[in-house]
Amino acid sequence: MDMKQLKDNLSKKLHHTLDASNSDSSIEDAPKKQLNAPAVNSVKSANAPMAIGATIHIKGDVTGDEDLIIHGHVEGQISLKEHNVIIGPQGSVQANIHAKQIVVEGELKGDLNGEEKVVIRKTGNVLGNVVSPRVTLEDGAMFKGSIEMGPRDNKSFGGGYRDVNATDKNAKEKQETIPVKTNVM
Amino acid sequence: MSSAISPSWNRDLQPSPAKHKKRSGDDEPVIIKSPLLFDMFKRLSDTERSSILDIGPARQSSIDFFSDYWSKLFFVDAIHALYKLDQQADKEAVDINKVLANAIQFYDRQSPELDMILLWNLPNYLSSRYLTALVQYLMPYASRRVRIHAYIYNSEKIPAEPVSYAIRPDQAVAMSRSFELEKNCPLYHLAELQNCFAPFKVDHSMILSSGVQEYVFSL
Repeated sequence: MDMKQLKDNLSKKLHHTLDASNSDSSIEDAPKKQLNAPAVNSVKSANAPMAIGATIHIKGDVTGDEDLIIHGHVEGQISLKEHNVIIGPQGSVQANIHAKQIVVEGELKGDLNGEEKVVIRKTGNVLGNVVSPRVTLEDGAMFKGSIEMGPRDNKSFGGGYRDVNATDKNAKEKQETIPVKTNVM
Repeated sequence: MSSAISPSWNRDLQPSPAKHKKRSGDDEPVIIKSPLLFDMFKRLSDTERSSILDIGPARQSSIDFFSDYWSKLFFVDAIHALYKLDQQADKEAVDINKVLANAIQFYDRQSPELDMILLWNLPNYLSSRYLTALVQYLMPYASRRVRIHAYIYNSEKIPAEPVSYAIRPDQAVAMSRSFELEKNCPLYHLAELQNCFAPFKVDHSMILSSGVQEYVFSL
């Protein structure tokens, strides 16, 4: 391999990496990509969401200014109103969660307040109350509790809500995924 | 994701494991018109919040349907739990209220004042004792304007276990097919139903083309 070939290969690899990290992806895609994540996110890159490892047990309130992925156990309150929270398949949480988007793949006992969206995946098991303008329940997801959906003109409900003139088109749009930038470890 | 292919009401109805040989198309749910159910839903509003108890499992199709209204949905997923408990040999000895509290398990801090209760086909799978106890258990959670909806079978044989129902967006209900062995239907007569549902009274009743009779009870 000559120098030119080596440079080409490096250049291709770098572009591939950048493309992957820059591509818009929904929070809903994030957990699948996170499945191979290390148990403890000991070295956290600048943009990577914070991860609570599988062997970590936290009792108390969790607040912050970045996305959070929980593979371990949390008891208390989680408040990340401007950010997303993902409970991985091994995650076990007994807490009320207030976040922008919440995805549950593991176990949760507590109330969920999703400013934008709550997703309970097929492996998810939730006992609690959900307040969010959009709720997605995958086939096989276990859910016991209540789901509160606000009036069309109530802007304060769970953050922004549908406008008074919401149409069927809007109803369909609410099923679609919100693209948010999610970084993959 | 497969969920993008089929509508949510269809995805919700996963047929129970087949004990009988299935034929092509057997997986398709039976679509039934349910006029009284949708008449009841006309009471929903987007200016006043309604609380709805679904005794069955949480379904995306129900969430989709009720998202057009200002509503609070309670999913307790108690149909199979109550049915199994009612099958127990020593059921006479158990404390029904404790059984109901465990099965229905309103989550902490919930104090619902229910406007609608969807029992689906559960009454057909409960003895009159359990059905009466269930109604009495739910009574304190009911608002004055509450309506209870139920499907009561008229045929002598019914599926061995409760089948699933899903609300469709086209004013109909999808009922999963059952491949389980059949059991005898309790064949509740009107007077017996009135007794079980007291203090509720039959508000409306209609026989559907499928032979199932739908009932709406009110105070």
